[in-house]
Amino acid sequence: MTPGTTDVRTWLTERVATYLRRTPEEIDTSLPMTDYGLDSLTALAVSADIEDEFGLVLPPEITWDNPSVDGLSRIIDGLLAEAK
Amino acid sequence: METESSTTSAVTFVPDPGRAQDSVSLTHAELDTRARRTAVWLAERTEPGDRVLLLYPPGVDFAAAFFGCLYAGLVAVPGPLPGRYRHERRRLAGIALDARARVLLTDRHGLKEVEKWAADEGLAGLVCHPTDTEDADPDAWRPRVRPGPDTVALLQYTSGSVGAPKGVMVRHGDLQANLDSGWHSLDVQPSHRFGGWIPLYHDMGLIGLMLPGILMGNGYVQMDPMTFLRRPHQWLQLLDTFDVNFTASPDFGYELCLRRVSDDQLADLDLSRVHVAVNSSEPIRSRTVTGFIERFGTAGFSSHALAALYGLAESTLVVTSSGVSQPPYVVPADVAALERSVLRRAAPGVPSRDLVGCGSSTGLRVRIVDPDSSEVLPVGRIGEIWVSGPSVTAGYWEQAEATKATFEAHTADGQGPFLRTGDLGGLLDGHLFVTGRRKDVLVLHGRNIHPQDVEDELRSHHEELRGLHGAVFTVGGNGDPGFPESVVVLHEIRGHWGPSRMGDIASAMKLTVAREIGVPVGGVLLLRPGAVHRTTSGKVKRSAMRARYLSGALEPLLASEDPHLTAALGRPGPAEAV
Repeated sequence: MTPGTTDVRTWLTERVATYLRRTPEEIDTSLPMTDYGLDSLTALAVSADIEDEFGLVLPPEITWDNPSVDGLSRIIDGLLAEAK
Repeated sequence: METESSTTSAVTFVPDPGRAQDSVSLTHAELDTRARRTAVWLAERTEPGDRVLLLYPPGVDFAAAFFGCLYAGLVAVPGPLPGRYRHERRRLAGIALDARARVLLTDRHGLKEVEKWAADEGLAGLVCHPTDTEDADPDAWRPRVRPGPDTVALLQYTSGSVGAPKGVMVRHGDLQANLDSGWHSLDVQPSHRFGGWIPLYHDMGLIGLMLPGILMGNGYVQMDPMTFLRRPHQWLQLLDTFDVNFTASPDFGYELCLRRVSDDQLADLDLSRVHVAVNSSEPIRSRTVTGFIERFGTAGFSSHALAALYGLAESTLVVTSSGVSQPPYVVPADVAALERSVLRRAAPGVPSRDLVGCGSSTGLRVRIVDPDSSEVLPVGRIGEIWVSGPSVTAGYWEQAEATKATFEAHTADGQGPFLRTGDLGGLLDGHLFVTGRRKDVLVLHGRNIHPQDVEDELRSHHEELRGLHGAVFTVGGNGDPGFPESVVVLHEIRGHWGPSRMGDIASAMKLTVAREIGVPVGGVLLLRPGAVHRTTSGKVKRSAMRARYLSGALEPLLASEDPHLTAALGRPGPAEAV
């Protein structure tokens, strides 16, 4: 996946859904992820995936301060745009 | 400790198991030198028997500091770095105060964090010292005291809530007895290398892996627990790349591997040299055990290697172990019988729950005792697990009352003293089966979480809850894949709020628990003041509230439940109809 060509939100929704054992359709991307039971372990897994997929190292707090999929996607988009 | 071996690695830290060349090692001789240096520094500032906090990031420095404390005749108090959870920071401050530690050892990477924490928590007299910058002369070291078997070597703070930490006094003799019996029962050879990701402030990391690796085996190899949690396959990669023969993890570590190691990652692994993989320190799930053996058997992992172990800090570490001469022993237990505290194999077609046998005693006396009458129960009955013998520790540091209640129990027929473990279990087919906990403690991802800590944290963040009562417990997690373990929060709420405002509060409460405690919440139920039942002395009746929750007897003002939890409870319609 290369920056700018992908839908970060779709990718992230899919990752989060997998970890939470949901289908992507079950995830309301505007709700805090903690509403779905996102714990610190899953947050670590997600941040490692973001690192692998986009080459971005996210400070761990980001997962907590932006706990909806939409919010986190916007941050990743922003960082990717910066990195261009 | 052994010092004759000067060229082999005693302790190795692996920052990235994918890059073996970045690893850092100390030989036995280097470890000894570093320990003497630390002991010289400590001897100038302490009296024998003083407590020393050891708060280290992952690395080789913890081992040197730990032995340095022992060389100087001091009591080591291992702990985690303060981190960012307020709950953990306060708990750590409680430990520093309870142990009356005046010296804190860390390394230069941890120094800033611990100094800030000490200042924030008002621990003014605590001297924080990075041992990796020392230049003391190691040859100036002279033993101040000769430790005997009854000399306390460390305080292990695994029990007790934030408000009432309890430090288990582990003596040199306890360590020796546990290393001898516990680990010889697992057929440990001097050629075996120990290693894994369990942090060293955890008894399984320190006493289960580091000490036997350095003192009895062919060294100890450590990785950062965060590396494991982020990329679980790197634990298995570490075992393969560094020839680790002996590892350990709570059940969730094996489960994480099952879920997160891809087929490609698996294809690159050779796990045939793993001689022992201990599963311990939280409920052992048969699905994990059998699933792990099946999946990682293709990488050469032997079914005999997976050893189920029961132990607790109060007994140093190990009580029983299933050994490595057979694959894990799984019994389908009769569910209806379990509810009557009877442990028996289910007849075909009868509802059953698979239980994993934790083997037999490794040197301690184990009794199953009726927790109320103190009568010793026969094989096949479930009661509280009581143990006695060598490696049962000296009790809780400066807690005479708690020590008496926990360590000095006698059976109805006068046998004793016994350690009351607080865990429930039964004996069958020569195995100890752990069926539950008598205490309210939640065991999640290898961590013991006290419900009152979660409740206190919520009240401190949400003023609508202040001065009221709550009950936190877990439901599910008995091996039924449709009903995974979930944390449920019941709390009384003050005032009249509309449903939408209460929904926001419930959502914010979930976020608080995730942020401050680090665990997900499956359901929040807000109740009228007075709805949380308490004893006459004011203690929350958590198990009674749990039973009312499960039976649907509560009438919440608002229920915000994960739909999967609602479905698992077999209730119609989610309670999100607020």
